[in-house]
Amino acid sequence: MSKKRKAAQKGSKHYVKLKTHWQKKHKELRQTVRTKHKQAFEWMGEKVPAKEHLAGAAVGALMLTNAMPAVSANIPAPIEDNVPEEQIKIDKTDILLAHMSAILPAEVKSLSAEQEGLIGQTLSEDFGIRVSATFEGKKLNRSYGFIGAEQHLMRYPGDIMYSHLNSEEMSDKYIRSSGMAPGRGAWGYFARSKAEMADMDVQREKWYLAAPTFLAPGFMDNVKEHYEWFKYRKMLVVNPKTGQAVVAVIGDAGPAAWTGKTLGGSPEVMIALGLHQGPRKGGVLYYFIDDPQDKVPLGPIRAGDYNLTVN
Amino acid sequence: MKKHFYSDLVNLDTVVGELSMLDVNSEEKKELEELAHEHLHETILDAILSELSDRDKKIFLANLEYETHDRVWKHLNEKVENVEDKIKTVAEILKIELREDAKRVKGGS
Repeated sequence: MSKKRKAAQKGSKHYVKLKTHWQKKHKELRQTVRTKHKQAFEWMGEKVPAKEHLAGAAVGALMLTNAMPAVSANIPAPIEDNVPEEQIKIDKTDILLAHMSAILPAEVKSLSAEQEGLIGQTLSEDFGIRVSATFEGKKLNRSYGFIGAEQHLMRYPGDIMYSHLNSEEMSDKYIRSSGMAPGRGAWGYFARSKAEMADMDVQREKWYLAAPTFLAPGFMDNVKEHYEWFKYRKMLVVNPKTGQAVVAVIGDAGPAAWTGKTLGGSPEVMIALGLHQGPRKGGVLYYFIDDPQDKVPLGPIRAGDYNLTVN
Repeated sequence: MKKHFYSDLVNLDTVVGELSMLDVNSEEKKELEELAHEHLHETILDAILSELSDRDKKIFLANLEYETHDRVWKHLNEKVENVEDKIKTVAEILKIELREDAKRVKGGS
């Protein structure tokens, strides 16, 4: 007789009989559920490290052989009651990665309208900011593609690397070695002169994207309107493999279609996305941010940093 | 008991009531209640997963693992017609079954 069975028989007769029956029933059901939805559970097992299941998560009970007690691993710190809802920050990188893995195609390619919409909704919820591939009737030719590294852009006439970078930036080899593009960006200088350059201009150049606005649907029908609309348009760019993300603006036009890249990023953008090493290229999602009150600053962002989608 | 996303829809009060009629002490009763809740949880997950596409199964499991109940419901309401009714139905069927089990044990003593 097994130890388990002996232990079970220590209780009252009703208890032992019912427990034995329910345990058997439970085991059979669990087996059936795991077999029926095998692919989904295997996927979940790969996406979520086993230790996270110890956190008393709802799926955990199904993933483990035995029910485990709740422990504090990976449970976010309690949130103070008096913190405004908008300011609550919880790192949601794990859920972002799980969602992206479930939704995105295996290769980096054009998304269908349905995929684009679903991803926009998911990114909005995971990041807590409103994003969409089509915004105010405008869209780029892609929302998922390869981003490649760009150089720094001249912010004002006469801007050179020495004046462009502060001492901290100068000490970063990648930022320093990226160099400065010989020409101006598609929208000219960010400021008319060094004296007139505001912090916003500095931030826009630092966190700029080169987007193929010239390939946007309808661009040729109304070039001026599109040109004005895309200028410094705020976007969320996400590396779906790592969850690293950045808020940036469109500050230049490019890259050319033949490069195989569909977006370019400033050296700082590439660092924020974790794509500044090796081939300096990688698959990213890029969506327009609806931020009329300019609440989301440019620069790195983490899933869960905002809660602006709460109605 | 852990609060699940369906806890406001379903309870096991009638099953717990049936357990009270058995010759069990409080610890044994508690353990049986826990088993009943685990069984309910798996039954509900099975019912929901059976209604979802492969992609939505993954989203549902990810939401369940990490997300708030509101977000779990938002996704389910978008993907499964009358999801609340479906959960209530499978739960009611299970409750009848569990109560029958308890009655049978009592009758056989």
